[in-house]
Amino acid sequence: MGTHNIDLFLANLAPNLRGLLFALSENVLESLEEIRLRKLRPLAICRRGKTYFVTPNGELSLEPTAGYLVSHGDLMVTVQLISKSSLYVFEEELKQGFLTLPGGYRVGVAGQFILSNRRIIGIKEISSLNFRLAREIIGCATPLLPRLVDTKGRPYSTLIVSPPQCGKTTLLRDLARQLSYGSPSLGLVRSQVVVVDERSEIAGVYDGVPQMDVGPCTDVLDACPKPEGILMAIRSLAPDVIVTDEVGTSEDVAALQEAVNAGVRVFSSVHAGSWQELEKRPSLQPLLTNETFTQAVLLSRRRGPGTIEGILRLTQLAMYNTEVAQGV
Amino acid sequence: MFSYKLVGALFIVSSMFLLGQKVAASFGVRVAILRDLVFALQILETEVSFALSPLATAASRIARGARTPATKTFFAQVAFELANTDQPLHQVWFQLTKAVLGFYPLTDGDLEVIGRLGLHLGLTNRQDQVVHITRIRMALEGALQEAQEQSQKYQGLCQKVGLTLGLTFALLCW
Repeated sequence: MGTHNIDLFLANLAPNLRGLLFALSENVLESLEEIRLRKLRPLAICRRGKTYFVTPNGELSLEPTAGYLVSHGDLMVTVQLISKSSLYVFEEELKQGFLTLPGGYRVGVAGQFILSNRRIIGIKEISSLNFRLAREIIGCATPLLPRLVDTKGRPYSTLIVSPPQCGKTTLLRDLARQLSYGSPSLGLVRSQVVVVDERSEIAGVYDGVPQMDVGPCTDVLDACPKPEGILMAIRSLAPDVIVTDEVGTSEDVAALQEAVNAGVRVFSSVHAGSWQELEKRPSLQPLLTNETFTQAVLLSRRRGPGTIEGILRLTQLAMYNTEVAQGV
Repeated sequence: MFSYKLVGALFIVSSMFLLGQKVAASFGVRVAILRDLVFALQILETEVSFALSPLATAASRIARGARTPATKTFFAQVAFELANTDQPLHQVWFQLTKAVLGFYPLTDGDLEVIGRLGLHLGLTNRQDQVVHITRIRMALEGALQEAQEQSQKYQGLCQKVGLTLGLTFALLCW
């Protein structure tokens, strides 16, 4: 069961919208995953992988036309509430298309982006907000941990692979927490952990304080690009383990390789529907062949978010790939 | 009888003199408030551009450093309302401009300039905010200059007119 404070979360919405959502049953609010506000479009929520529309009576409908239309005023008041009437404070986050709220909740932002020399310098006319309810599931990594630790109690470098909304970040967060605390029963040594949290999703730092429990021996590089953050961490924070989310570019891959070559264990995640899909992503090819990760965990939503579909030993796979490449 | 007349005359003269003093002082109050508001906007500019403080924090810091009760109350109320209500900032700003600053001897023009600040405050990026605040500060500096000139011109005049009117009434009533 995820832990979150729904009152704190809904307080970020305009009073009209808050009223409608508070009218929903406790069961619905408990399973809420996302709230989607689009200007002059129906108010929508996502729960258990499905999208519903909230009617003006505070009920759920699958029919978009039955939904309460989010007005310009609702959206503007919500923007003012989440930014505390100070959008300029969130300028850098907004350039990346999101805001982080107290409690570690994240709001995705869409609208008209302002460009200068083909680089995003700001956003105006915000037209959509996507509130994502970050869930902290303490202990969700426990069943997996024995498979991720070597005989000396040190963790293996692990890549978590899954499509969106399957619990990658929740799992990484709990792994960071458990590695940071250590676990004598599992023979897991307490590690110095650095979380390179480019999109403030893992630790949900707000006002300099992680809103999620990422452990007592964890340093967080918040809103820091992965390549720079990983190299900074190696140079100055002496980590045993680096945890980072959503590897995607060749720069990310190169930085992870640096970390592994420096004797640091890395935990990361990547978007892919299956291992076959992952193999088709050119920028990630080096990860699959050069033993950066010892193993990969495949996740799905088959039996709810966080369903473990399998654990692959990548060192053997890399050996196999090399043999195939050499025609052995 | 003569002593009663003298007491009455003294009362009229001193009342009119004090009235003149009060009107004269209001010119000085306007100058002091406008000067303080200009100073407040300089701090706001710094808070927005360098410290990146949210408006509620910036407003409460300004209130702590303000020299006049008008500015102190206004920014303290802005900070309080931002932290405690769901109202959009421009509404809060307009209401407080009217309710707090409207109570002091500021002109409609002064209040209009201050009210305009609330329209776009907090709604854009740092660079645009600084431009917006600077423009309002410059408009207030213009109003301050005009207020200082008026103060120099009319302060002494009001004191003298008060005294003269008092003496005239006293003589007429004698």
